[in-house]
Amino acid sequence: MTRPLAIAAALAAVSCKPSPKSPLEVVPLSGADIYSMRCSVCHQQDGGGIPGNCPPFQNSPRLAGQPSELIHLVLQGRRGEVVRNGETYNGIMPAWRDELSDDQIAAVLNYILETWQPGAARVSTAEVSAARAATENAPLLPQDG
Amino acid sequence: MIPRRPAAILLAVTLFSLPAAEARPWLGKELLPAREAPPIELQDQNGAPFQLSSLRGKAVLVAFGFTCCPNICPVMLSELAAARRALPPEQRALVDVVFISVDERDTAESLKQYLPLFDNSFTGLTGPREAIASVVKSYGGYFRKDERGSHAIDHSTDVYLIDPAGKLRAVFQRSQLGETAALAADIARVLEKP
Ligand code: HEC
Repeated sequence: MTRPLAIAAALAAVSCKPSPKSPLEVVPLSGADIYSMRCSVCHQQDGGGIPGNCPPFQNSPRLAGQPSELIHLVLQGRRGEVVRNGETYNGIMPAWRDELSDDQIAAVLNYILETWQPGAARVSTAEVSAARAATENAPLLPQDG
Repeated sequence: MIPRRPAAILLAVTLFSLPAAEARPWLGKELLPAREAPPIELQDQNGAPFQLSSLRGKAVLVAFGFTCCPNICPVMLSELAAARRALPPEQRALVDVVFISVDERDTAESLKQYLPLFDNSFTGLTGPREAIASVVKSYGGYFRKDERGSHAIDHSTDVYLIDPAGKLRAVFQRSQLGETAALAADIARVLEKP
């Protein structure tokens, strides 16, 4: 290699353009990764939740219900009481719309469904995108419903 | 060979003889030398006057936020609650979390409803805007209206650890707070070695 070429190559190597084969793009976070990083502090790694605060995923009527409700919950969050099997839980489910992409929301919801409600239908990225567009101006952390 | 760098040898000997606890790195950024934590004089969620100095003898974690915060604050407060729960009961009783609202819309009442959503022991503070601003600034933090959202406030998310003697010992970035065991270990360290 001639000297100017070597310098050009060295400069190219330090420039900040993302490489077309950036590993971040090639290997997206799995639903399980996102769950451990973002959700397990409240829902716990085993899905058991926190007594009095965060309901367990085991036998959850929500997980057995409409996927559209789950998507809405993850996008907008929720605050307030919920009663399960006679136990009251009072906590905050954060709103994830500004923190997670549509792909990531679908992936983490599918991880939760596969793990704790294996018979349920899966969530698609397109469904999350549509729900996101439909809730653009909806309140975050609604307290009712 | 005759040693020509006595300082280096002294350093090596010192490092070698440090007790094991010192070798464990902090999760947070340790602040050296430990200095007096800036005073906090505001109102708590019961409407009573609050002074940080009333918590001498305890480890205190200070965080800023607001009760309508949709994501960052509830996650941070849940992480602090998890670290507190991870400590044995004798130590847990000596840990206080102080959440200072940077939102004028928050009241003692809104904080009183909010904090038990994470942990019944947490303290929430409000006060005149200038008093809040000066506390936030004295801790090196900031807050401002987030122009993108009508109700949003952009605020610093560092969490400060104060030891039982009232000294500021460490600061955590919010991305570190999910390391429950390591965060609990930092808290235990300032309780054990005031
Ligand atoms: C700060 C604590 C917290 C975090 C973090 C959290 N959640 Fe939740 N989550 C809750 C609470 C509390 C509820 C119950 C909400 C209600 O009904 O009021 C909930 C409910 C849910 C439900 C419905 C389950 C049921 O049985 O009602 C799903 C699904 C869910 N969360 C998914 C997630 C996902 C995905 C993440 C991570 C991206 C996450 N959560 C992170 C606290 C949290």
